[in-house]
Amino acid sequence: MRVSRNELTASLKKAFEGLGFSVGDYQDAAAMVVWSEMHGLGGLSQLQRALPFLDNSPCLNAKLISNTEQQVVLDGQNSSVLLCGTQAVRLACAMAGEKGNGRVQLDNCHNRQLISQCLVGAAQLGSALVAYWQQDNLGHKLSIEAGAQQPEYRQYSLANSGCAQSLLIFVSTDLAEIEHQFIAETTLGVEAHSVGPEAMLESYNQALELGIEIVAELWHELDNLVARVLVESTESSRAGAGD
Amino acid sequence: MHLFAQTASADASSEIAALPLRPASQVMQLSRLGSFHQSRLSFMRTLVRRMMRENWKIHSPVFDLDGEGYGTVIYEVQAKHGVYSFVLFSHYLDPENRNDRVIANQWDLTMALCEGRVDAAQVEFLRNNVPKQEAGRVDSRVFVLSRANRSGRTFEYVVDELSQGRQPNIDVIAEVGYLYRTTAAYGSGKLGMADWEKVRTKYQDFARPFAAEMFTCFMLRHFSFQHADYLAAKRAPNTAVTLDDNIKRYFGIGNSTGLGMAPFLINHPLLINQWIQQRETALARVIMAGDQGIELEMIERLKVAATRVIQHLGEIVTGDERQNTSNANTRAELKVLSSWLADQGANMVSGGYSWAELVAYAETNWRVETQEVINTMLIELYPELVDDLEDQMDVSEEQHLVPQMPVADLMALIEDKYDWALAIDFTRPEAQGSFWYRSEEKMEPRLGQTHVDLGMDKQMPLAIGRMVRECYDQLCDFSDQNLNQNVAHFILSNPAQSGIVSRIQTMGSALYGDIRENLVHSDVLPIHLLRCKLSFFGVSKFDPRSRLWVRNTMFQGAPLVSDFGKPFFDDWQFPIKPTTGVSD
Repeated sequence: MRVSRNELTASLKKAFEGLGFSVGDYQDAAAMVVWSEMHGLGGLSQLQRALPFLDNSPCLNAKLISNTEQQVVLDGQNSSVLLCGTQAVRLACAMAGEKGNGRVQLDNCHNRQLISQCLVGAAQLGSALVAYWQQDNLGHKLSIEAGAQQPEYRQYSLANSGCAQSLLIFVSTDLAEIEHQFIAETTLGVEAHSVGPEAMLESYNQALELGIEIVAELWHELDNLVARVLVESTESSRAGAGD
Repeated sequence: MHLFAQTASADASSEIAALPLRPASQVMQLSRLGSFHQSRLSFMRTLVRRMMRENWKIHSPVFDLDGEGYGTVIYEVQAKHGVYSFVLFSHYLDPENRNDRVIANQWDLTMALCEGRVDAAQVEFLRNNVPKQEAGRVDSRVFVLSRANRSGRTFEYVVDELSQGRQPNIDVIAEVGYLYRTTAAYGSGKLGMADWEKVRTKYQDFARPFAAEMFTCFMLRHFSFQHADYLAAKRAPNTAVTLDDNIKRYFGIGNSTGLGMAPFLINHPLLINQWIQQRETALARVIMAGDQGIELEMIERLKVAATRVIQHLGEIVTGDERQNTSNANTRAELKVLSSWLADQGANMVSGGYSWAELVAYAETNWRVETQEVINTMLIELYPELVDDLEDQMDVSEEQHLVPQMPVADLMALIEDKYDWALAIDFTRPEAQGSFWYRSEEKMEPRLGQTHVDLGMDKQMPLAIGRMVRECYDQLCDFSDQNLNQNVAHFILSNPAQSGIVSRIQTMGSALYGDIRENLVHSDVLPIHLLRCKLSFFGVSKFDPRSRLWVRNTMFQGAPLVSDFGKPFFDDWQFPIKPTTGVSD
């Protein structure tokens, strides 16, 4: 079935609310999933994989581990990037605002691919960003210029399996500067796959034109989560609607 | 140089700085927002101006109704930038099942506004889904889904009169004002429809907020006339007459609006700020123009407008005591204004009287309802100063958190822009006497009584004032322990505050900001929220049925489809009984 962006966003907000997310978190999380799906990065399939975990875990945000001149380290507490991602990006941006560039390492965090929308949001406010993580012998890199609407996504083959569940975020106002910093400290393998801004824009336009394809099973699952924020209807409650 | 030429050449921000805009502390009070009336910037007004100016062509390639008036009608609309289809299904409805509430599941009419021309397969798809409304699914070719019920008081009466060769009695019509009333017009991507972003970027004819929804209601009105004429002719082919055009213009479309509209205002603060800012800009431009002297013609036009509003308010039939009293008070105060204009008009012109003085006098001596009627009438006097603002009614509803802002700055922002929230004592029981929640019945928003009704644990986050208070208290605690920290670190320590912090930072830079009301007070009047939004839609004849829902009339007094292409003076606000036709 196909749903509209507004419809999917509204449903996701309520579903995340049903999972116990706070107001800001459910707004951010819905935006992250929708952005990723509409731009061809598989937001809904990642959500589908994450839902059982989200439904059986407490809603934990990131916790500060260390804060030095060079970088901030956060502990994602084995939670999802849906709950920790915006915190990490905002912290990196604030650091860049003070020092010229920011570097945040978010450890113990899942669903990292969904971070894209956070980067785009920060880019809209004038930051250039690079995000990098490793998973299953692949390195994943997202980079975006300040003011850009879409990032560039690249995958690299790695000789060894990457470090566990970490996400690195670099921020400055100049993408070339942080690319330089990033390359200096990271060993990238052979590029295996990439999605450019043009392909993301095309995917977005198509989703806007035709609607977003969602499997009925996931839509039903979201409906069930939405039901958690609804209140039983009674004669008394109907009076509260104007009867 | 004319004022408009001056302002149009300046950029928006310097214009804002130069204009005598009313402050947010005055405008954003809920009781004032709940006193707003339709203006030239209201969406029905701007839509009608566009259709008239561009001479949209509307015809019905399919008008397939049976002898009882049930069946399918398709209208094809040729607008300036594209072709659209308005597809309507007319159904038999047992009168016992006629229900205006959102929880209803059957209606007399259901309809959809679609992009392009519809083929047989799409009509069949729509026939299988549109009548089900929320229980159906449509696709991104559809902009708006709506439904309507007949007026029990006028529909049969009008058809009977027409079939007997008579025009209906104006006084009977005046009591209701419509043949059909709509109970919902869904757009913006609900139920699989096209996203607003798609409509806004691809379909210029409907690229203003709620333009497609308003057009749907306009088409419903058009159908209501054709339906009445059709049924009268079917019943009595030899004697039936068609409804007189002057009477048609006096018919609108009824509307019932309940709490569903209230959360929209709270969840779209930037959009509401934008609407209010444009209306206030219009008023400020007019007041500024008055500083350069008022012509006698303007005094005369204001007097005519006041006389019309007095009659309009006098013709409203409502069982709501508060609204009746308000209408009576406004009429009395407008009569004083009218006499004043008649007696002193010439002196006002020669003595250099300004609109600013009139507005100030009204604010000191008359009620808020009267003040806002006067403001509306003043805006009407200067179309050339106002109408360009109709293209500024849209804004992207995106809130951004600024993480590097020092915590002290955020606290100062709250103290400056949300002083109204900090002034509320939330420890008093009545300050938290209500809560908002979504019912399992079609997710209908409802207002509950604290510690009485079920659902407090699932309440919607609409108590902005209380959320700001909580955030401010946590900021105080945080800043005591963390000197010179920024918002990013505050959010790290208080992640649940990220939503309200985004809102505060975003709305802090908006000219009018948030609505200044404690929406969980036990005495909150949600009807003011509804009235505010409805005024921007352009409705008239507010008839509150309780503090939670209101009946009103859309497009009453507006031109007809048959008027398109004819000379048009845009003055159909505050409709009054036509002089044509039978009257008691």
